[in-house]
Amino acid sequence: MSFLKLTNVYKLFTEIPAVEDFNLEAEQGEFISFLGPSGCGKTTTLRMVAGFEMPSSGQITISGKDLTYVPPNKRNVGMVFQSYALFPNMTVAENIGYGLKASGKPKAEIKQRVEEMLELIHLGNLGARFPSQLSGGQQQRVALARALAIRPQVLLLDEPLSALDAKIRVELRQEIRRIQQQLGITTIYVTHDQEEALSLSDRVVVMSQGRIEQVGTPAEIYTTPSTEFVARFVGQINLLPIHVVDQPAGLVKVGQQPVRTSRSVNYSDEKALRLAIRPEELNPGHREDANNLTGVVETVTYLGSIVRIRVLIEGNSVLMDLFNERRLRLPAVGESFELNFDTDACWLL
Amino acid sequence: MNPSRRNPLISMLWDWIGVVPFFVFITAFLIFPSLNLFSGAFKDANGNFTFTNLNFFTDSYVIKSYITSLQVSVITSVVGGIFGFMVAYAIVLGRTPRWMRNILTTFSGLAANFGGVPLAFSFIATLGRTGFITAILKNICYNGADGSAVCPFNPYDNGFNLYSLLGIVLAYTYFQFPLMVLTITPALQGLKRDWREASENLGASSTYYWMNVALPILWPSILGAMILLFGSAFGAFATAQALTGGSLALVTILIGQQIRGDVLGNPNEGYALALGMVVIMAFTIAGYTLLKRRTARWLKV
Ligand SMILES: Nc1ncnc2c1ncn2[C@@H]1O[C@H](COP(=O)(O)OP(=O)(O)OP(=O)(O)O)[C@@H](O)[C@H]1O
Ligand SMILES: [Mg+2]
Repeated sequence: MSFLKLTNVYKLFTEIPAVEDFNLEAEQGEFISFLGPSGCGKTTTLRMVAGFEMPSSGQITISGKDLTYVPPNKRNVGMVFQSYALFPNMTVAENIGYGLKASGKPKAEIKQRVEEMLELIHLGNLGARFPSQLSGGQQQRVALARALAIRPQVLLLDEPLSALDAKIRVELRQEIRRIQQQLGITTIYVTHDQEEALSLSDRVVVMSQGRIEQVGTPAEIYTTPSTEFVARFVGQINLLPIHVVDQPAGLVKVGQQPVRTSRSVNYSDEKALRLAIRPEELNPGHREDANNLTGVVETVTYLGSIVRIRVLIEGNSVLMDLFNERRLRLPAVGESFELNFDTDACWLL
Repeated sequence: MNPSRRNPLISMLWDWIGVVPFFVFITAFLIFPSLNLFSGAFKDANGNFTFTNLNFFTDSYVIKSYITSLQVSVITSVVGGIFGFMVAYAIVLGRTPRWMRNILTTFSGLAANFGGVPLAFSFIATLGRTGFITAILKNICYNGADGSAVCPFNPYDNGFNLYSLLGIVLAYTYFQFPLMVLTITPALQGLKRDWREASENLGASSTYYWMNVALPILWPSILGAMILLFGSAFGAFATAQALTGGSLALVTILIGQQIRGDVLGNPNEGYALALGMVVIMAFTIAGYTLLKRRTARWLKV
């Protein structure tokens, strides 16, 4: 049986629902990310799990116990805030021990647990500092330790790294994953950074406008996005208008140029279908056993390890990402250009 | 013109020119009078140096006036402070509707600056011997057992007197609590919602949060606001003068009598009285600083 379960959760603040039709089951020890654009209801869902918001309808259970209307201070769910939310009037050690002290644990036990936690976050010698004497990254570690000190059943993190600079962000997210795995704690991680979601999670929940678009492992989300929204939101995607030539054979045409896809085509008359292909699946040049498309180079953009080439094919801009190897011959803008891709690298959406 | 190539002296003058009016003002109306007050306290009527003005402090009447002033200041700042805190709490953290918040905030802005003769007059007009609330209360009568009218609610028959310490306390509280509202509101607004939620999330009760997080964080601001209230009551003069006509001896009223320049007055004794007030204020502020330093160690780092 699943450990954390959200059933038909629905939340209405004013007019449009912030969260709708939300169903999710997480296993014990699973790391799940909520990924989606601003305002899609990630925070609201997380706050309902924490108890800061009550669902308008639906149910939230942890380990079989209905928590839907249990007040937040009776839930034993740890939360890490984007703003760290450390108490400025308390030292690091006092912050970490806050939950234990509030529940009347003996002094010796608190002291030991605080030391354990400081050890866990590698800040063993900073217990006597005040939050204002710490860097942002250190403060967020302390916030994590504080949330974990009470041995919560579930750990919730709401964009915990978004106030930090890029380097610390990568460092700390690996740290979070390490601690999560070490403790085996069920975790929900809210982010709008796809790299974060993909690199950390066992499963990713992609959300849009209060609804779940897709739930899956990072690989599933990336390679087989089930909706156009997911395809566009996670990674880069080229979407080319086509018309179907032979549905069972998977044969379509982009303008006048034929393309074959070996992935199944769920053809329906109502929807205008498009050919979806990731930029990194495209290769320069002609290949006999692959799809080939010809166009004109529009731009060449240097991105460091990657060079992004935009090719105009049948009136559509198509992005192609190439590794920036030394032997790479870059095309000139305005040059005629042929590219190829495998039949199983593209699909219809 | 390239600023780095400007004459550094001129550039510095330019940077400071904005604060010149401030320093002129401070010199003319704070530093100069203060020096004058200090030296005046140690001079006799002919301008010779003397300590005799300080003998004035042994006069029981003078001692009594300090005690009364302190009483009024402490009572009105505590009462006004508590009321003001409650109102500010309602404005910032309570679930009062927006229009109510606007009314409270606007009222506080006005009332905190309402003082002197108009304030005294408004109290006289409502709670004075012939004030209209007094009149209403006075006329709540019924027929007693013997048929004569019994009017039990006349405040002046029940020990109330507006022209007394109680009256002064009432009138001062009228500007003290809005002053508290104005000074403490920003501090309450500075309490982050995330702190409360983090505390709840860690299993703490609301009381535990207030005792261990909110109040300790607010404490320096509360202390500071109380000092301000204390000072504003301690130094108030016109309201008390207009309300009691000088019959209640506050230090400020005594000073007023000394420096008015009639035959009974002795300006140098007035200066000495004022010096006493300065000393009390200085001690209060020193106490505040010490207390703040001890209770808010986290602010120092
Ligand atoms: N307290 C509230 N009252 C009214 N509407 C709210 C409230 N909180 C959130 N909303 C609305 O609910 C929707 C979802 O908001 P939510 O904060 O969950 O988004 P989010 O996915 O966390 O976005 P972000 O990435 O910007 O943090 C938004 O349209 C927001 O305006
Ligand atoms: Mg959010």
